[in-house]
Amino acid sequence: MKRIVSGNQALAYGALAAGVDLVAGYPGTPSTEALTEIIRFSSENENAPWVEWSTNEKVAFDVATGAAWSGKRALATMKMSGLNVALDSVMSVAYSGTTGGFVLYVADDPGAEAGMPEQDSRLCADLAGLPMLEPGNVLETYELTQKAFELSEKVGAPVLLRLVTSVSHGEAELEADFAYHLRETTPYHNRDITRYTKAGSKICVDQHADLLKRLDSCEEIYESSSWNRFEILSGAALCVVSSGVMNEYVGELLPAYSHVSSVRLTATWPVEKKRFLPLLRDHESLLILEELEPVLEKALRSQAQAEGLPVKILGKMDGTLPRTGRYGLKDIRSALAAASGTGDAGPAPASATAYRHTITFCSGCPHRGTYMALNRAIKKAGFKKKDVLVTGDIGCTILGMNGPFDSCWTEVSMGSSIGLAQGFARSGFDTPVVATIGDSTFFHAGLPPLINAVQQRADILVIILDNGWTSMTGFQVNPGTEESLQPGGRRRVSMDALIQAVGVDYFEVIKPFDQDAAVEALAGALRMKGVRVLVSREECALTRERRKSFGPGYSIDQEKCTFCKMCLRESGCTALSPVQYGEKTVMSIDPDLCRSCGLCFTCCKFGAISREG
Amino acid sequence: MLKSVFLTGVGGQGVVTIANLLSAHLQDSGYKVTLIHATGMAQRGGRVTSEIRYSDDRDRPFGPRISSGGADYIIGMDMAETVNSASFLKAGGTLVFQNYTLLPSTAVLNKESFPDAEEVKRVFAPFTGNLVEVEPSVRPVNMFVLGVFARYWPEAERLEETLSKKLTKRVEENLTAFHRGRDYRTEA
Ligand code: SF4
Ligand code: SF4
Repeated sequence: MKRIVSGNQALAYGALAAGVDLVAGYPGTPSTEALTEIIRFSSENENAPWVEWSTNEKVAFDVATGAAWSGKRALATMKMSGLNVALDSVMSVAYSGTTGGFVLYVADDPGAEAGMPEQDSRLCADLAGLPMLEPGNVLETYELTQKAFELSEKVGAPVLLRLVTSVSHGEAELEADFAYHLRETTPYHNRDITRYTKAGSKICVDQHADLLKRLDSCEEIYESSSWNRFEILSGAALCVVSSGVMNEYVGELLPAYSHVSSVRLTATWPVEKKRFLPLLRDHESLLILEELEPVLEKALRSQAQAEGLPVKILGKMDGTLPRTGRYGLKDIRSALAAASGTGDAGPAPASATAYRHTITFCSGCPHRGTYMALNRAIKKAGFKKKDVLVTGDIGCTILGMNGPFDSCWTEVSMGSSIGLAQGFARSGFDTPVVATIGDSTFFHAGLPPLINAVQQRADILVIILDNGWTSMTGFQVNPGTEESLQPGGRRRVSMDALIQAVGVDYFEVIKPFDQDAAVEALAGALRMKGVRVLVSREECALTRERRKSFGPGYSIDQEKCTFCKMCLRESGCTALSPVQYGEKTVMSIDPDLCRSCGLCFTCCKFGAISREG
Repeated sequence: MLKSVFLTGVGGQGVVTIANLLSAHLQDSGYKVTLIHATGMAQRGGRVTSEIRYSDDRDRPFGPRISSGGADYIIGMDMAETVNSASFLKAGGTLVFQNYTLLPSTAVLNKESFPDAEEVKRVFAPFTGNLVEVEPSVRPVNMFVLGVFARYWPEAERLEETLSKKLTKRVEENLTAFHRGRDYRTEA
């Protein structure tokens, strides 16, 4: 069967073809659709692996480890930021190794298309001593995912499977059976505290030695596979070394160059020293094509140095290629031209002004109501907006950083808003410090800093914007999602009970579309002392829309509108835009976009806005 | 032959839909195709791009992304994003753009200027082969613009068949918009 699939989907079907027994992950662009596809598959097929969105990436990795340590095949999925969350366990498990095939899928994002640091997770393969595979296209992803499980079992180590956005989101045709190949296995776990615990320095140092042995055993496996293609031309002066998606561009451009050797890697860690040695000896220069950090470049530079070879290594460290960003054909073409002294870098691009479409909440989004209410409450409580520091957090809720709200001041990592707020509050500002965080982010990593706040008697206002879903990444279910909407009989965890159990000084649930009451509650909480938590609860407009209609929309009486723009200034709703009405400009509401939240209605002093019907 | 189509716009304009249709059409016509959408913030009014690359040589390797000066065609649904994408067009390439700009609320409030059709032409004219402006007069606009594009795209033969096969919702309406686009008069 042939289908057009993305790299993420190919990874999902590769894992299914390998008979994966358990899949756990946390959503994060650009990795999300791998697990989403397995969920979809399991909802349509009786015969499917256990698959879950876990509370956070560390939990996902731990759950997967339990399965792998039972001799089962396990897959954990996350983006690079999630790898950081899971890293504590990843390091520990790397030292212990695995019995069942264990694949850790991490997606990196060169060019930061989805925001967050331009982190290179390949360094984690070095840090944790994990074998790593980096497919460069859909077909390779499908095949190498299956191979990754075999490699993991053969070596006894978890295998890092790393994609970049261009691969995980890139789509192409795949010929496969798109089926689940269940392997009948009995769970087993031999109790062995020297392997599965860390208590005792001897245990740990021995495990370190084991880890290095496992890593060493990879080289032979790589050499006997077709994963790394060494095309060495005798007498060639230049050799181009690339990995993952860079291989595709090399394949595209290299035919135009005569007599250049090439090495295209998909098994990238550990580096195959044995096969690289003659190549380092026989070429005048090597051009290394890799996005983000000079991982391969450093390894080859150090090998050349250790062997006392004069080969010139061109890459990032000598300035041949840019140090940051995603590489395009353009970068590779000019590097090839520079390294080979032939060909040209291509025409200079046309330049143009950059216009920015500021991103904002969807129309009808409850977060719009919460930030509107916060802005109004700050005023009502007698503070100035410029004096009230608001720490934001990851997810849709961070869009409160943009106009017209201009609420959030900072964004660090999952759950960090609550800890950060405590540090700001302890620094002596005499105005309140507020943290805003979404529901999924709160469950993920918001609870420990809240516990800290209570224990340390912090003085902060935490606003949890609870829309019931993990929306930013595509509306995944989370622990707080309505029980009736939880798949497969899963349960809902009560956020309210959790927060109250922690012992916060003040707790209240508000409704973001009931502006008067929300403003009242927020203004009161701003003036209080201690740990105050307000949960602003209303379902995500887009998930709600899938199940029920919003009823008649709002509209603007063009006679009455004075074009004061207050509705737009306060709500910023995307359904509002100026139109020409006879001689004058007035505001209007796009009926296709209005989701009847009524927020704009609360802004108009001229009674121009009303609900239809 | 290796060619590239770059599509751009903002969330909600159906850029991804027409890119998927073009990709499926090329696939059905026997080309080797890659497609990548960048829709990170689409739902929230942000920039959307789709990049299609295709070759009649199915064994030919090529990377998935279009780099500057690499697009034979650009389809622009929003003029700000069209201007932002100018560097992608090959000299002598074709631009089909919709005369429409989504103004973010902050732009309305701060009176920021956003490009009009004149600016699009000023930016593209010096190096563009076919420069085609489309007035958004027929809905759904994405299918209408696709129809206009089909006139300038040699691979459009039997595109209609793909559309009838792949469209699942409001098929008649979509096909009508596509036909109106094909018949659209432009002063190219
Ligand atoms: S607040 Fe009322 S009067 Fe002012 S622009 Fe909006 S609709 Fe018009
Ligand atoms: S009621 Fe007003 S604020 Fe709410 S979605 Fe409609 S136009 Fe936007």
